Amino acid sequence: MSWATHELENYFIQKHVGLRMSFLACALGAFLPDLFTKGFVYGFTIGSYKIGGSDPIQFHRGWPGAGFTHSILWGVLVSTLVLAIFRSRNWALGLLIGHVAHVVTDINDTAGTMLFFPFSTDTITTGMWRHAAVLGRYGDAAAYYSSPGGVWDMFWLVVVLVFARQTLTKEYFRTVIVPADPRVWAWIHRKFHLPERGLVALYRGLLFYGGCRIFAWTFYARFQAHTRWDVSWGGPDYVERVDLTPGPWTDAFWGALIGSACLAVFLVVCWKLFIQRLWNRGYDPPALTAKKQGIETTAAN
Amino acid sequence: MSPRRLWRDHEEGVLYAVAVVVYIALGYVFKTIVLNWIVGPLFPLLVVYLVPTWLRRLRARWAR
Repeated sequence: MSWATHELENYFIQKHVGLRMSFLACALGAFLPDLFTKGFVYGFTIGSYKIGGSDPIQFHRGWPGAGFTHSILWGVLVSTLVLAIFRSRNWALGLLIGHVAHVVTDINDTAGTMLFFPFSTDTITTGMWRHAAVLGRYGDAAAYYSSPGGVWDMFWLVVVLVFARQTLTKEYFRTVIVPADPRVWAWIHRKFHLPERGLVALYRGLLFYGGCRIFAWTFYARFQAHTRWDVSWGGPDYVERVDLTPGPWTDAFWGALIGSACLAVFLVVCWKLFIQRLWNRGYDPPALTAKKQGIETTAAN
Repeated sequence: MSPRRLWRDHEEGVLYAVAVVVYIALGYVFKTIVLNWIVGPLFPLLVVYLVPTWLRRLRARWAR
């Protein structure tokens, strides 16, 4: 699993999607695959009972298990539900984009994700770093920040700070983030008496959390856990590699190919049958509507 | 440039820098309590806005 990238990539996505997507929805979408499962992955104890953690990789990414939460279809399902209930297009889009970004990022560990579930239960993986949840939270953190995973997180921090730094400015917050989601930001402003400075701090919070977490856990890995630094592809080699889709890669390739084709057809059919109708009766934030009308007026002139 | 003016011009940047250093240090020591999805994203709000606001109010109260 990725540790900080899920928080960081939201700002990069935001820069490219702009007013069409709610940033808060994108952030929530990025949490969505792990929201109800992460606690069980490492396991926790209530009294003398230990819950979860017996086969974390199978539970987190496999089937049978909760691996379906790391599929494209799960994101489509949740965002369609949000579109049907709240009619907000930019919340549905934000949730979907955040969710898909998460599951695509997670293909980089050795467990991979069932992107095309239920049409294929083969996990897709690049195998860049080893999924180390079997070591518990601290062991996983130490292994991750001693592997290419830590480099991957740092890469995303640099990408955001260099290529998406304008998304961190007050001006951007004022002109894009709030107009894309005026109701929620206005509610936070009213409910908690937060002026713009507080709201901006809240908006920058995810980047802050992701960025700081990289350093805190890296220091832990280097100075407390003393894990070996192994940034070779598929490292660290001291963690046992678990493959959820054993067998030749050609089997997984054909499984994924057929699964992706079936999923694509299924999504097109769903779009034609009901998602398009839900989308058409949904609404955009006023700023986006005004922008679209402005473009249409300019084109007409 | 006077220290007061320097502080006024760069207050927010300095507070973010302080937040980063304090959060990483606290996270290193109190991992489970600090390095989580609730405390992490709310920490800059605490250091950059809430604490300075409380301090300003306290100072104003003492000055009266």
